[in-house]
Amino acid sequence: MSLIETKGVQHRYARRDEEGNIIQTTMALQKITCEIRAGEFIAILGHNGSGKSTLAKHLNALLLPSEGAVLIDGMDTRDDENLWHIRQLAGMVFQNPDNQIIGQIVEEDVGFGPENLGVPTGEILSRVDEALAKVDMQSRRYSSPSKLSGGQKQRVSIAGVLAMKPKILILDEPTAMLDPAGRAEVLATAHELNRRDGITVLLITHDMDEAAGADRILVMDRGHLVMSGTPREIFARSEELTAIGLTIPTVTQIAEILRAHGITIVKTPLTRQELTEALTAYAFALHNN
Amino acid sequence: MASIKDITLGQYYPTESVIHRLDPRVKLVVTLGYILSLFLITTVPGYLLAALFLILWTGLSRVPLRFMLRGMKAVFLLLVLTIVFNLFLTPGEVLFRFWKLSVTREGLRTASLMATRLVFLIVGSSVMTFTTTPNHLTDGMESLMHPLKRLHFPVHEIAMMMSIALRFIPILMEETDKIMKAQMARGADFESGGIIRRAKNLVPLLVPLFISAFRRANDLAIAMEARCYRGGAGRTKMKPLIYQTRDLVAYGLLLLYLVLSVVIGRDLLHLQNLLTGVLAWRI
Repeated sequence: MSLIETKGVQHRYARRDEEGNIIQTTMALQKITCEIRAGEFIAILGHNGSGKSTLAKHLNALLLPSEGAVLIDGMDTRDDENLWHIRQLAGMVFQNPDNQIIGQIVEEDVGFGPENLGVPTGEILSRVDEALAKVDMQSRRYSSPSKLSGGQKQRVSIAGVLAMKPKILILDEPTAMLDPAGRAEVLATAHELNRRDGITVLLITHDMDEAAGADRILVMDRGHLVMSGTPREIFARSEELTAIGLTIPTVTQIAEILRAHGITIVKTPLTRQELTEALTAYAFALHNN
Repeated sequence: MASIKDITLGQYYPTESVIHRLDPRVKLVVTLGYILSLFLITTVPGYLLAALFLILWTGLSRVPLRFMLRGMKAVFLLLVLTIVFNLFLTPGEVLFRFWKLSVTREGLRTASLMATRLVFLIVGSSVMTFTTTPNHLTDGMESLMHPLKRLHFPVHEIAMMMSIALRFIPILMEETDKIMKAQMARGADFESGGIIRRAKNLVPLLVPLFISAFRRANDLAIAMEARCYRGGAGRTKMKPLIYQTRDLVAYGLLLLYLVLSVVIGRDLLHLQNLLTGVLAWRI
C-alpha cells in the first residue's frame, strides 16, 4: 500500500464579493491522481500558481479536496476523526521561517508539537533531544530563534516536525527565503533524514537544481499534474518543460548545447560530476578512434 | 546608531540567584503580597519591616542597584507630585509657612510615608521582572489563573496570546525599521512638522506594517494547526511548573512577613477597633 494516495483530487477556490456571492471560481487542482511510496524523496516542481502548494496543503488536511480523495497511510483526510493523526504523520515546514516558529527559545519551539499531542513530559524532553540531534542543532538549544540564521531557523522548524515522529516530511519551498549556504544546509538535512531515517520527503520547489536530487519529480502546471518520473526522465523533456515556463538544471542545459554541436552524451547528466564523466568518456572515445 | 534589534524585551537581568530560580508563581504571589502589605502598613516600625524585606528580596536577587533605580526614572515625576501635594495640602498643626503655603506636621509625615511606599512598591515589584523571563512569567500567570477556567475564563488562550505577542515583538520591530527606511528612501518624512503632521506622516508606515502583521498571523495560525495545535485541552507541558523546597520556604517567609506586618505595621488600637467592628458586624 502506498503511503500517500490522491484520487482525482480537485480543489476550487471561490472568490466572493462583499455580499458573499461567488464571483469567480479558480480550479487550483484538477484531477490529481498520484501515489507516493514510503521512503521516497519526491520533488514537486511547478511555476508560481501551478497548484503545488495547494496540493501540499491537502496532504496534511489543511485543505480538503472539493472532489476526489486524499489518503494518508490509508486514512481519508475528509474524515474528522483522522485529522490529528494525519497531521502528526505528515509534518509540514513552510516558506517563511519567522512565521512558523512559535517558541521564544529553540527547545520550546521543538517541544510545541509533542505538547499539542499530549506526550508525557519526560518523553517530550527526549524527543526534543533526538529531533535537535537529527538536524544538528543541539548547540543552539537555548538560543532565541531571532539570533539564528535563516538556514538554522528552517532546521529548527524541521526539528519541530520531527519531534512529532512523522512518516512524511512536507517542505513547502523551504529555501525560497534563504541564502545559498542556508539552502544547502536545509537540503542536506532533508536528504539525510530521507536516507538515514527513512522519512518520506516531499520537497516543493521551483528550483531545478534542488529537484535534481530527488528520486522522482512530479511536475505541475495550472492545477494539472503534467509529468511524473525520475529527474533524468523529466529533464530529458526540456522542450515540454520550457513550454510551461520551467527550465532544466544548468548542467543539463550545457549537455543539450553540446549535443546540438554533435558531441555524444549518452546519459542526461544532472550533476557537475556526471557531466564531467560524460565528457571524459567522450574524449576517450574520440582519442581511441 | 544602535540597531532596533538590540532592544531587550522587558527588563530581564540574566544572572544566577536564588530569586531567579524561584518558581514564577512564587514570585508573582510574593510581589502581590508585598504590595498588599504596603497598603496595610501605617506605622514607622511597619515601614522598617517592609524595608528589611525589600533589602532581603533585592539583595538575594543579585541584580545591581543601578538597574533597580533605573525603573525609578519613569515614575520620578509622579513621586515629586505625591510629595508636593501631600506636603502642602494636608491640614493640621502648622510647622512653618513658606509664601502662601504651609507645611504641617501631618503633611510631612504623610508625604514621607507615601514617598517611601511608592519607592518600595516600584522596587519591590521590579525584582519580579528583573529575575523572571517573560515566558516564565506567562507560564506562572497561566498556572495561577487556572482556577478561573471553571468560570469559562480563557486562561490558556490568553497565556498563548501573550507569549506569541512577546515572540513577535522583535520581528515586528525589525519590520518597522525596514518599512521606515524603505519609505524614507522614497521621500517620506517622519521627523519634521508638528505633532499632527507627524502623526499623519506615520500612515505610510502603519498601513504596510498592519498588512504584514495580519499576513504573519495567518501564516502562524496555519503553522500551528499543522503542528496539531487545538487549544489547551489535552495539552501537556515540556517544562511543567513544580514547587521545590525553596519555593515552599519562600511562601513560608511571605506568610511570616504578612503576619508581622499586620501586627507591627498597624496601629494596634486601630486593629482592635477593626476587629470589634468586624465582630459586631457578624453579630
